Amino acid sequence: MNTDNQKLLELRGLRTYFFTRQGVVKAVDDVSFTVEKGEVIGLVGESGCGKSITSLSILRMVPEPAGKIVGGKILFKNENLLEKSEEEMRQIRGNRISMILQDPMVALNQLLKIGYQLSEPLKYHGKAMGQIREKCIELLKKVRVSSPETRISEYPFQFSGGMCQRVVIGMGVSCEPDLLIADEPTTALDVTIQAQILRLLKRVKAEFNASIIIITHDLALAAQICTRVLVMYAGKIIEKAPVKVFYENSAHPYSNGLIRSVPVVGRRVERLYSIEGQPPSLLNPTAGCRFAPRCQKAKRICNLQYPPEVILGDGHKVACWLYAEE
Amino acid sequence: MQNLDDLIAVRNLKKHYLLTKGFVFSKIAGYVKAVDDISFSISSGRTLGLVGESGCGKSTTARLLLGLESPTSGKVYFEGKNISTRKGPELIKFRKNIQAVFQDPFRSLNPRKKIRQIIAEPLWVHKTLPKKKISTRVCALLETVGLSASHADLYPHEFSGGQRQRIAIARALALNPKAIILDEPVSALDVSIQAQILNLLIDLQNQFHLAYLIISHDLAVIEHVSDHIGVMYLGKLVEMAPRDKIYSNPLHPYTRALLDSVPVADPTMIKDVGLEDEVPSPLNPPTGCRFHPRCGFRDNECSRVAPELVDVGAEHYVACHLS
Amino acid sequence: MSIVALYFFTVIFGPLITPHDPFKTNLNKALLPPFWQSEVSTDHLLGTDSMGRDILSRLIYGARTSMIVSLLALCICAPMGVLFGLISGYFGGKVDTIIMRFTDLWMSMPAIITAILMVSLLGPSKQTVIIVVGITGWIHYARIIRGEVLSYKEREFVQLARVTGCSNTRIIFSHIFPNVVNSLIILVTLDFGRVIIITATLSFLGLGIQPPSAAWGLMLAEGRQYITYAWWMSAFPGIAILFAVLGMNMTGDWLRDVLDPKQKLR
Repeated sequence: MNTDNQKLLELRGLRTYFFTRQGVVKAVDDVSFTVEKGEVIGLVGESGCGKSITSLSILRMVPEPAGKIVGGKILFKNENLLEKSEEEMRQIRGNRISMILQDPMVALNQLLKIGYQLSEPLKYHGKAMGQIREKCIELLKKVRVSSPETRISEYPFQFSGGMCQRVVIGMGVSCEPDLLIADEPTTALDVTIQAQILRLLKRVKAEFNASIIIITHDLALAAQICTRVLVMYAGKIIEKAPVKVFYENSAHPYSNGLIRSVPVVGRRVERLYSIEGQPPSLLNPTAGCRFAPRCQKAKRICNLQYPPEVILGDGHKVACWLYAEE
Repeated sequence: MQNLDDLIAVRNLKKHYLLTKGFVFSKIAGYVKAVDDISFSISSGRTLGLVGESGCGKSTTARLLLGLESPTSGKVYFEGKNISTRKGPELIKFRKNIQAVFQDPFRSLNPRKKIRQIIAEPLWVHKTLPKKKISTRVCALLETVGLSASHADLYPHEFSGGQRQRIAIARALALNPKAIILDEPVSALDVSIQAQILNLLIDLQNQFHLAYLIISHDLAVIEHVSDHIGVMYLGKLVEMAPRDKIYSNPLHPYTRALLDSVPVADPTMIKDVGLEDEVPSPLNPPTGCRFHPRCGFRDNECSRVAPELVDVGAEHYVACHLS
Repeated sequence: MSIVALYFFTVIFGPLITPHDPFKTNLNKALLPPFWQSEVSTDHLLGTDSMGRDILSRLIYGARTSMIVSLLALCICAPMGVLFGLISGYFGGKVDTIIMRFTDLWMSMPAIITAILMVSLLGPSKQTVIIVVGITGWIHYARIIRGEVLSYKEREFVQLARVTGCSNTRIIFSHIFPNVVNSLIILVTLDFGRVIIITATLSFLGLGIQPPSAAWGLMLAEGRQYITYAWWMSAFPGIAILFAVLGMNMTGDWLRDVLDPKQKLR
């Protein structure tokens, strides 16, 4: 099943560093993964683990000059995005790969009409000449915005947060991209609206046959929509697993702890498991496993050498010394 | 409902904000009923959780209890005494009984002060301790919340989010309050840190016999820490019950919808149902039951008559015509 | 930065480094050009004025005058503005409306006209300049500080201070004020330039510092009638004003970058 034409995106040893006054921050440090067609990947991790920077790197939108992609390859349909010119990247952004940001109120320009903002990617990428208005209305219908004919000439402040997020998703899929990156798409929204957006994303995925990378800190969200989960910790991917395997049988002590520390509705426990300590600084990380200082199962080698990636089962890989031979 | 002997008892509390139109000769354009006639009680050592979506009035309720806003009408009793009408020095004196921890630990600590000053401030203001003992007390508080005394001379920006929330908790504990209002205490924190803070809060409650009012949009967090849970919708309490009742036997359609919407960290339990539309504007709330436009079980009566919060037995209250 | 350092240096050590007595007139040496144009002597580096006074010495003394006037004026307007800004921002409501409408009114009158009006009432002198510049300047402080206060007032740490039971005075001075000090420092440096210009303008118009004192604006005015054949009389004070203002503005920008706490974290 892992044939090359199934592969949509492949990251190989991606490194994105930030050069600051205090030193080099290794925000993304040797990250490799693949996204196949039709997959929904959950990139899960806590704030500052490098998950957002990974997604920005894919679009080559790392904030410069502090941030720089210093190594690795990003293969999108077998072409290395890191070798593309800025002009070629512009043709890809919003067209083949598009992105949905966390806060819909900020993602939309408050001074432009919804219709205008929706039509921008269409115009720019030369889709739907002439019948732009019809196309926009159709898009709004697809993301379930009621009475799109009138709403198209309204401004974002007349929309609620959930409605704005629908419009943002509409913009994201307007050019029928192959890959949609959603950075915390529901974090800023209320519970009932979150559920709506989640359902919408699933529908959009089915309708446009796009692959999705969902970046989130919310394990419950990831469980609901993803087919595969990647866990990131301090700039490294520490575990990759199909969603069911991940929630039933996570191998890395960090993933395990994370799952156990989230309270689940209807399954109250007397005391939550908690991972002690704080996530490490990405400035001068240790040579060993970055989770080792917080890990209860840490061995001597964990602090000395970074663990190799071990294959545990079909699509289940973990970087941990508990499963590797020293 | 429960009697007034509880530590905190709230009766028919209302907070309406006036909206005006026009610049020079302003007219009243309407009221936003942020909190509309709610009553509840909290006893010592217990936790009441208030849950609801943004704009439901849960944070306003917290501000009313803290005396940061004065109610339009209604009463707040603390140890049987009405405190909602207090002003001036009397209010200041009372304030040491109820403290608060807010959502954003980055904004709730004064960035220009050292941790020592931040935690000691309540002690300075109320002069409950001789000056010499303040320093010892600060160190003891830091240790209570799982930090070390050596942290006292650092500034807030030198700490991570979870540590700052611990500092905020230490400050809230400084005056030995009887109750703490927790407004979204963990929602700005990372998953692994959330569990640490929730466990700390539970430990402190057992240690100091504190009453908590915890406000959150996260039903899982609320379930974990609360003894009683109140569900709010557009300024009204629609259901209130002991924790297990809410989760095992939710009676109000809104409570059910909320529970249906919460994603579960289990890929074998995919949820695909839930409300399709949004919360109406609080400026023009629907007539009758405020939830009726979104409710799948509504009938004619729902749009005309607002249901009362009624006791359906075993401390379970619900405001719905159908139950 | 170095301009400002030089400025402060001349202000403090002025009397020690002046080559000549700035007030000594010598009509034999009147209107000497600066040293690179002069065949007669290189004694007066920047030449002399119509009364034969050394221009460099007068510039140095002028720096002192402008500095003293500006500092004293700032001592009036900054505290006044900060106080009104804090009160207006923190208490809001009617107090805020009254103060802000008053500043609107005040701002709708050009500062220089107000100044001229006040000078004509009080009579021109150094003290008048200080008072005039002081009370025309506080508006900016009040408005900007008010804005800052408004944003801090809603911060959770201020709310928590109220929950704790802190008095309003304590909240204003112990919680809000330390947070606006940064902006205040930047404002003051930037305002310094403005004050130097207004002082110079008033002196130039003959409404400020009176001869024979050495002041840049005054020197500029004195040189005006000789501009065709003794350009140096007005050029050097002009350049001095330019650089002093420029230097202060650049210092202000630099301070803004340095004092920004977010920059520190980076």
